[in-house]
Amino acid sequence: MRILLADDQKEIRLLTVNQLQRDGHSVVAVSNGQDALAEFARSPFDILLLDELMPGMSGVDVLHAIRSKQQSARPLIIAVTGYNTEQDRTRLLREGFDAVIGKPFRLDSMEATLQEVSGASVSPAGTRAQREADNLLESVGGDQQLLLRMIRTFLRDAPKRMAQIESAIRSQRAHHLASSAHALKGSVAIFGATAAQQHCQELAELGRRHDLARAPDILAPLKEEIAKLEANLRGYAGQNSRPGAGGRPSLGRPTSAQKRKPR
Amino acid sequence: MPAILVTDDDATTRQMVRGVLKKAGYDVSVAADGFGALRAIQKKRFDLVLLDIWMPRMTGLGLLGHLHGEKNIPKIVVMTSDQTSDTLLDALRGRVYQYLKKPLDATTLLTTVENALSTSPEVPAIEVVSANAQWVELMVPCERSVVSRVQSFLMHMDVDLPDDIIEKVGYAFRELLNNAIEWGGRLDPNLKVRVSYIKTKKMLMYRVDDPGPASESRT
Repeated sequence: MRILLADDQKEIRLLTVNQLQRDGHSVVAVSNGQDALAEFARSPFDILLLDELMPGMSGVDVLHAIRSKQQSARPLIIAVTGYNTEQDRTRLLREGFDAVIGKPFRLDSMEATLQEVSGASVSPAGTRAQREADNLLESVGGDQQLLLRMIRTFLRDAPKRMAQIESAIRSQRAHHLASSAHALKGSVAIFGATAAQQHCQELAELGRRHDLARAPDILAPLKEEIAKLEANLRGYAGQNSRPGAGGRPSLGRPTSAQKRKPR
Repeated sequence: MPAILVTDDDATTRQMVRGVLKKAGYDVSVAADGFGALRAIQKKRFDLVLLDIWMPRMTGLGLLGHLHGEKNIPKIVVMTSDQTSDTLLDALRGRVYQYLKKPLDATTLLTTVENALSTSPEVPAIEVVSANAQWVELMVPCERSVVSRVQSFLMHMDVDLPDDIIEKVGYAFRELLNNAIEWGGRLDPNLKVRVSYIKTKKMLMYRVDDPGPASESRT
C-alpha cells in the first residue's frame, strides 16, 4: 500500500517509516500538514496517517481540506493522537477520520492495526466482505441455513437490546445497563463486529461500576456500529436467501465441523 | 443420544450452539438464565450443561451454587468471554469441567463437547489453595482428564503476552503436568499434584510439584 505519514516528531517519523517499509509498504513522510496536502495533490495514496497536533496545519485541517474536494479515489485517513480517551476517539471519528490510532503505538503491531482498520477500503472490492462471510460460515460449521436463522434472530433482538441499553442509561439503572450491554456483546462478537463488541464491553463495565456518566458518549458510536452491522447482515441475508443462492462456492465449502459423524 | 442443556441469555448464541449441536446429533434443550437451567435440570437428566456466566436473574456461578444440593449433577462447561481470574477460579471451585472462550466456533465447541462427554461423569475435585490474580495454587488429583481441564482455565487467565508465547508456555505446561501425573503420581487419583501459577507484568511461571517418591518440582 502507498502510505502518507505526517508527523512533526522526527523520531516517530523515522521509526514508523522504517517499520512500515519493513512490512512492505511504500511510504512518504512529511513533517507538517501543508507538505502532506502538497504530496497528496502530487500522487495518490491508499492511507494517510496524520498526527492530530502539528504546528500550522493540524491533522484535522488536512482531513477537512482533502475531504472537501471531490476525489475519484477516497483514501483511508487515520488520526494518530496522544489523546487516548474514549471522548477523544469519538471526537476524531466525528471529525471524519476513518480510524484513530493512539500514541504510543506498538510498531510491531502497526501492520495488524492497519489491516484491521483499512481492510474494507483498500482491499480489492468484496474481498474483505467475502473473507468475513467465509469465517462466519466456518464458525457455524458451514451451515448456511443456521447462519441465516441466527441473522434473523439478531436483527429481531438487537433493536430490543439497544432500546434496553438506552432506557437503562436514561433512567440511570446501572445493573440493567450491565446485563443488556453484556448480552448484546455476545451477539455482536459472534458476527465479528469488534468495534461494537468493544463499546458493549465498555458500557457493561460502566454498568458494573455504577458509573454511567460516560455512557452516552459510548452509546453514540455503538449505535453507528450496530446500524452498520445490521445493514451488512441484511445484505448478506438478502444475497443468500434467494432460491439457489446457497450454492456460492466460496461460502458453501465443507468444514471440518461439517465432516464430523453424528453421534 | 447425549442430552445437552445450553444456557445463555443471548438468543443468537443459544441458536448457534443449539443448531451446531443438533446437527451433530445431540438432544439439545435451551434455557435463557440460571433459573431456567435449574428448572430444566430438576425435570430432566442432562449429560452436559453449557453455561454462560453473566446472565440476569441467576448467573452461571449462582446456578453452580444451587446445584450443590442436587443429585445427578450434569457435567458443566462454562462458555464466557470473561477472563478474570476470580470468575475462572470460582468456576473451577464449582466443579466446572472445562472452559470455552467466546465467541464460539463450531469446531472448538464440538471438540470440547465430545471431550467432556467421553470422560467419566464424575468430575475430579480440584482444590484451589490460593487464588489471586498474580498467584494461583491448585491441588489436582493424578488423573489424565484434569490436564486439559486445568490448562483450559489457566491458559485463559488475562495475561499481557503475545498469543504465540502463551501457546508455547501452554504446551510446556501440559507436558510438565502430564509427566507429574503419570510418572510422579502413577495416575493414582488419591495422590495430588501441586500446580502454582505466578504472573507478573511480563512473566508467566508455572511450577508443578509431583507427589512421587523424589517429589520432583518442574518449572
